[in-house]
Amino acid sequence: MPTEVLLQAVASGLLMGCVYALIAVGLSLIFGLMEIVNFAHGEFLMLAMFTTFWLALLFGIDPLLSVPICAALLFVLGVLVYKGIISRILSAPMLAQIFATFGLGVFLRSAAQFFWSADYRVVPNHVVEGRLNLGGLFLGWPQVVASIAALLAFGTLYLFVTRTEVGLAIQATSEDREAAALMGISSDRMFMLGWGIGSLCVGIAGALLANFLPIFPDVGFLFALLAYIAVALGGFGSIVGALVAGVIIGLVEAIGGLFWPSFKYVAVFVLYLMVVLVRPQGLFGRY
Amino acid sequence: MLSLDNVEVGYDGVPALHGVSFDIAAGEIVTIVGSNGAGKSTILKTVSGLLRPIAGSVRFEQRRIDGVSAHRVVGLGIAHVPEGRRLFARLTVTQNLTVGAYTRKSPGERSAMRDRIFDLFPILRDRQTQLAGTLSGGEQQMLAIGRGLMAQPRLLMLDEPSLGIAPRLVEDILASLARIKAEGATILLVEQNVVEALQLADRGYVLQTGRIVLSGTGAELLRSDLVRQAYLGM
Ligand SMILES: Nc1ncnc2c1ncn2[C@@H]1O[C@H](COP(=O)(O)OP(=O)(O)OP(=O)(O)O)[C@@H](O)[C@H]1O
Ligand SMILES: [Mg+2]
Repeated sequence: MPTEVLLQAVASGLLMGCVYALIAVGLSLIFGLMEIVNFAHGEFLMLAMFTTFWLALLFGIDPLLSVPICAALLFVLGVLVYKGIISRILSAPMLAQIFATFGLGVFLRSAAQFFWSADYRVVPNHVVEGRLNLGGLFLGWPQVVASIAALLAFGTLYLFVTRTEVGLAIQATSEDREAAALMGISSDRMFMLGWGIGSLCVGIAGALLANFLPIFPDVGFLFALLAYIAVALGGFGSIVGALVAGVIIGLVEAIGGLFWPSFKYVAVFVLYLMVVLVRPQGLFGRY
Repeated sequence: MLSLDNVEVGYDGVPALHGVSFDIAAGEIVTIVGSNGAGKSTILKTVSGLLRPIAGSVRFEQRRIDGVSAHRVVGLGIAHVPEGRRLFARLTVTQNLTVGAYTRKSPGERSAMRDRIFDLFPILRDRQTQLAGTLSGGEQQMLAIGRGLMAQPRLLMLDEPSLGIAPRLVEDILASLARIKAEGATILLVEQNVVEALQLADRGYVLQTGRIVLSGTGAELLRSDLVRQAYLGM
């Protein structure tokens, strides 16, 4: 296999990996805080993509401008879902919690099909398009922009969680919510914020992906699946782990696709199984 | 300053405290001693709002606080240094102190408080950027106390600060409590280390299976038959 082809795959894998990481970190943040997996995470992504699509179609708003809009809308959605559903089932059995978010996902997907049909949509015209020629390596500009923006969002999140007082309060709550309460931190407030921020991440990712991918009600499924794997691979609740795992998955997917195009996700799952068998807590996990 | 009146607390309907009453005046060090499972931690958790009494009342500075959520009690002026320290292991020493000051937003007050804590426990000053989980047991206890002090409480409650710590360090830690008291705080100390606790305290209570069975000054309790037989093996 020629080197350029391999390099090409590595480059596109890296780019997609950054977006996977942003999707995964939203999931990981929520899980780290309260040991709840948001099984509607993929549908949140789908909603952000459709929002971007409709904003472009109806108001001519470019997907890049939709990034902050989707971030804000998804933050609000996350807070509402926490307040309306999650906060009521905090002490419910785990199965009930799984059904609650899973059911929400099914509901959102069906609603999207009902209102918007199962058709594939593409954002009509966008500012960022074309390809970047890096000495023979061709990278789509939308992908390049998406990965840079995803990394920026990721870095901001990291600084927020590790450097600000509210971020420390989130970390304290995820380590020991009772001890955090003794410091004056309301776990309810932190959970709400965690759902808001976790959903905001996926909102940003959705707007960025809408720049170059078709949009349809089931679009979130594959991304959510990869995000669950990234969270498990990186270690549940670990922010850095989500980044590393997201990039690894992007790489494995792209390089695996070179050798075995129809089964590229098999390579991802095999890698996941290997890591989980050797190191069940994930690469950066604490369990 | 703090008074409990006939407080009953249970876990899932199983009672752990049967009508506990006691009070603490401002400026005192009061200790509650008792063996494993007597209900000492349950008392502190009830005061700090982690548990709600089934009956009875808890008052702090004339105000009823039973039923107030834990995250609000700190702001009223009560810090609870929990059993087993419960530090945020993946945060640094400084970050733990910052989280301890969550209810105290003024940066000036915070850095003054941090300096006071470093004066009290100089070793923490050298450990500022170290993760709390990597400190020694004694250092962790100092940090736990420091984290509690960051809230500038008027009442500081400590649950077995000597647990699992070398005897020499226990002395240091208990001596620090005398200094904290001298700087104006009121202290409620729960201990199984009966002799040291009673020597340090102005007054004490003996707790057995959820009931206060004896009270008096530290010296009186040390001389009492009950304490001598049940806890000192004499
Ligand atoms: N979370 C809980 N669930 C059920 N029962 C509990 C719980 N915590 C404490 N108990 C019970 O309540 C009683 C008092 O416990 P508590 O922890 O207050 O004792 P303690 O005096 O602090 O003991 P130790 O010195 O071992 O810390 C014990 O019988 C204990 O088994
Ligand atoms: Mg105890």
